[in-house]
Amino acid sequence: MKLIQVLANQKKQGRLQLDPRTKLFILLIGNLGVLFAPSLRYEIFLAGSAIVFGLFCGVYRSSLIMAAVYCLLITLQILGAAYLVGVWKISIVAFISFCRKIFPCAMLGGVLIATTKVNEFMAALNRLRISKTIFIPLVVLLRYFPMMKEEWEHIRNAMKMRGISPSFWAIIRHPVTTLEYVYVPMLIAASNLADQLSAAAITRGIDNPSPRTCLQQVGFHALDAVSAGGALLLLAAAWL
Amino acid sequence: MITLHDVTYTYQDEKDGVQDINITIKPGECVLLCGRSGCGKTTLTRLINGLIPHFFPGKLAGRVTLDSVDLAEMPMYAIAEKVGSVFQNPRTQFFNVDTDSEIAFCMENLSYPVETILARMQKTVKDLRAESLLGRSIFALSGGEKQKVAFASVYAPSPDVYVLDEPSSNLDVASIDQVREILLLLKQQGKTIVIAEHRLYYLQEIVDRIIYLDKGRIAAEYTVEQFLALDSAAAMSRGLRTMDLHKVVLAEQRNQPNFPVLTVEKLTLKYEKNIVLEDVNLAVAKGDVVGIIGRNGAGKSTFSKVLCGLQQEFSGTFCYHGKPVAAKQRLKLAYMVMQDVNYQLFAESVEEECSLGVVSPEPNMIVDVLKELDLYECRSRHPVSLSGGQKQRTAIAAGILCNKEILIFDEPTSGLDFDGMKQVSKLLTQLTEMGKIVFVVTHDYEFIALACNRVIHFDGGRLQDDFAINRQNSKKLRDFFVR
Repeated sequence: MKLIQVLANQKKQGRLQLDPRTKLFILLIGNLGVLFAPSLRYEIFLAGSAIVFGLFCGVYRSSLIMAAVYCLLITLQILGAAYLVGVWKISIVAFISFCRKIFPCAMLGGVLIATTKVNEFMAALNRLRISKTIFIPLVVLLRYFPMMKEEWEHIRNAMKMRGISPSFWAIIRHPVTTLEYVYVPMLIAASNLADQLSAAAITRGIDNPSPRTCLQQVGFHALDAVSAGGALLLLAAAWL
Repeated sequence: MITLHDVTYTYQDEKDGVQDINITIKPGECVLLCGRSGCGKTTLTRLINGLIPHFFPGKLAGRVTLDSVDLAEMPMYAIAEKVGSVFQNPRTQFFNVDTDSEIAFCMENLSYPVETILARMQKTVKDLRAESLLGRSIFALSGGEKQKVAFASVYAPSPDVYVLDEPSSNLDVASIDQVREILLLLKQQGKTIVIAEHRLYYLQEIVDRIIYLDKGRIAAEYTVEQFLALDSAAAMSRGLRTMDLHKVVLAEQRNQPNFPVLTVEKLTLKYEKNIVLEDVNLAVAKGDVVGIIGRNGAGKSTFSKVLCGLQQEFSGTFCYHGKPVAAKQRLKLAYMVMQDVNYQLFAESVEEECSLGVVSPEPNMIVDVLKELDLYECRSRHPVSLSGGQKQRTAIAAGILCNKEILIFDEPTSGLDFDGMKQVSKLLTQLTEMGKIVFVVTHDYEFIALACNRVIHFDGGRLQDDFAINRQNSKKLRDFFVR
């Protein structure tokens, strides 16, 4: 039973196998946590927990990179606040605190995307009784993120060959133009992709109103309860 | 049985519809729809798989029926169970990012019980010999493998009708062969197949009837024998590719320019300890049009990226006019026209596109180049609104105006009819007349026979062969493409 073997092997990836609904719940809690964060210390605590969560879910490489980025952000902010003056101080410190604020959510969102299969996600949303008109665009979005990397590669190569490379200096010197060069082709590619993807999905019966079955079993287990409880405790810590 | 009765359809933007179509397709029949780009063959496939009128709004008159039921009155999910569709671009028809889920996707949508899904998947991978494709990420698959998974996903629920819209356009020779095998299997099983294609050669033993469309109307119908009896002039005047690759002949003796200006020595590149390119040596002259051939993963695209300076060479040297050129300098010297040119169009108008990235653009030169490439009329249009060929030419114009000396084309003829292919070939000739060096990565035998004067053949990262295209070498070239 080769097929069964393949399916079984996939189950083993990563330590923590959670139901997509639990991951969505944790993402929501993360957002609330950022919203109610009383102090920088709590924020760092929250970001740290998000990184640990990522590691538990088996997203090792990105979690470690994100951890390094976060440390860099915090250091820059502290140094910036201490040594910079005038407009530079305001703009850089404000920019960094913005990045810092969205960091835990970005991290949790990234974990959700990296560890959830599209059909698992669909099955979970189905169980939540969310209507197809809402969840199909959500699923297309989930499907698009990993593809963005490929698109970005192409666009960056094309820009390099035209001498408008999106290098660090180009972004500093002409932020608006450089971004425009990236988003014009990206937008066109994304809209083509969305059209073709929808056409393909509709010829494969996605509009069937009866509940879809799912190869991947989704369902709550003890670990889901533990993770959700942990997330709630973290949120409660905001008022401690 | 599929019938189209007095069908006339106009898209919302009133482009490329079809008129007065009457077709009856018997169960188990294989019908090929062919004709120039924009002749309406894709529209016909959409009428048969229900995308018209369920996905593409527009004006539809007449009736399309499947087993005497009007498709317009069937919901899409009911059609999905009876009609399986495979599209042109394998990359954009996957809803999932892993192969297992994709193969199961249609059956999950149709609410099949999990045991049935597993049983069908097992049968599918066995029938299509796709066992090795299970449990993979779609980002790690080649184009051919992706297309095989796309076939598997429609094969699994076992529909009676298969509708295919240019399934071979993005594939290499070996993958097209696999598509042929799958189609033969479907035919054996008595499935009805409707296929719209530009590349006809791989369908010879499969199709029963050929419908030739012109400007949205059925212009002729042929059996395979009748079609094969058409001489090549007749096929060309209809804008059709050949159905028999043995008939492809090399045109007159080509120029073989002599004085090499670009030399590559001992180029070797490793990626995570795997050798991607090894000991590649090459000398190319101005005016050369070099076809780069080889299987998927043979090193063609890596070589072109290194040539453009998009990737650093691990060891070896590039020299241009005797001077070594490093990756950074090659970025200024070389330019790639990508298979999907949408990635390389950035500006608001064709004219702006041409001056983008040029340090001091000369208006006169822009006008000259635009005229030369037949773009002057649409110079103020937004690149998005252009046709595929115009977009490609805009990208080329930008490359010329950036003063690039080496142009590399990645599959410039995928999905092109005979006319389109001829136009690209003419463009390459124009470029050589400007003194450019042209490389073409391609799987298109007819195109090489028409446009290149030389071929380099990659295999397993090595330059296996490098030969001029002439009568003596024609067998060598044919052996690579024709099996």
